[in-house]
Amino acid sequence: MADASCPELQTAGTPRLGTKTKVAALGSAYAILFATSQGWLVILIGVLFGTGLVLKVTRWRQILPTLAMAVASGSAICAIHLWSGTFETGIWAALRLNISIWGALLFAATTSSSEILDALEDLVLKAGKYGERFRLVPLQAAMVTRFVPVFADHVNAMCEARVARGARKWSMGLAAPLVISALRQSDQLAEAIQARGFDPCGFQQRESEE
Amino acid sequence: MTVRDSVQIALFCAMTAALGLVPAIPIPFSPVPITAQTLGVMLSGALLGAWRGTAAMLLFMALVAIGAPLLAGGRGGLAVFFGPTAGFFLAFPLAAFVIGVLTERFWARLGVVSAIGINLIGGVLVVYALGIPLLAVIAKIPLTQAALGSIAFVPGDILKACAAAAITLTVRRGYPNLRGDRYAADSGRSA
Repeated sequence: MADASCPELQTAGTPRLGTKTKVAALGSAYAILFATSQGWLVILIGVLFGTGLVLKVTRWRQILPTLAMAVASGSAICAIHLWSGTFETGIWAALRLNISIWGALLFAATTSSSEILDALEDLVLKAGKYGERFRLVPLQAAMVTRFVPVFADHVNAMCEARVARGARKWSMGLAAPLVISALRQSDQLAEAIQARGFDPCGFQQRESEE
Repeated sequence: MTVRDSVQIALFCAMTAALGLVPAIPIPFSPVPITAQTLGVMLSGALLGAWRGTAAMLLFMALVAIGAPLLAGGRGGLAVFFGPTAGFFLAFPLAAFVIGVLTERFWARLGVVSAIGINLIGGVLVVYALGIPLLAVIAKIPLTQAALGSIAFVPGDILKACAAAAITLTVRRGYPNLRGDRYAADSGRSA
């Protein structure tokens, strides 16, 4: 997939590891973080992730909600353990939770979604015939990215229409026209795709053979 | 799987994300307002069926994992998989699958009571069955404490299950070609 401009966190210009290397390193760090009983290992991983975040993240405002959620969750865990009399266990649980979230934020800060989809496409191609069915996943991801704002605008329009009629902004019943709209648009889009002959997984060939 | 199936999977994934942008609705008998995102999970299973609904939720999880801010509140990224609500999020595909299996089984004679029951089983029981133990594991708290902490969300989820049932029946009437000719031909029942 083309590496379009990504609205995710910007990073400083430093040499970059490949996506697969980063995933392997992150997976290993998580395995150690949750399996070890050695406190110094947990703190070491936390220091590494924290240092990486400080060095790599330039738009702190984007990650503040996630950091706030991590701190709030950790505090709640500590409070529950304090009430149960196992405060030390709660501290380590909260620390592991926060450090794992820092690792995830660091991965998000240093990897764009197009790089991840490229790595996924590469994996699918290497999977041979077993990966054929997943070749449509990057296209589906692009469709989701395209249609979320469309449906969000539809939801806003319905809410404004309700407010104009003096009702509450949102009601669960408004999901029904949203669903019907999604179904109609999916039919139109599928017809447009078929009309253009786009068929990366050989669906149409299999249908004509049946 | 046809091109239409693939597109429906993607668009229901997008619809679930869009429902997460809806503001939370306060309800009088619960301290916790309800969000509409899990409504998308229930509707994906009920309207797309077991496999397509599950595929839509797996696609949703994959996009959240790579950083797309699709969850309620604009949350996304791997951090979600390690937070205390990770279990509830990971239950999305399983919930869609269970709702899809049961809805397909009873599609021809689906009524209000059966639809509500199906959504309660898949959208509430299954989600809490996975979410509460994982919350206990991540937070290292006893299971009973994790269950008690989740009770405040139950009234809202029951309300959502009822809404999902009503919407499923409405869409079934308003969109007769929902399951496509293949389903009608396979089962001998009208869609």
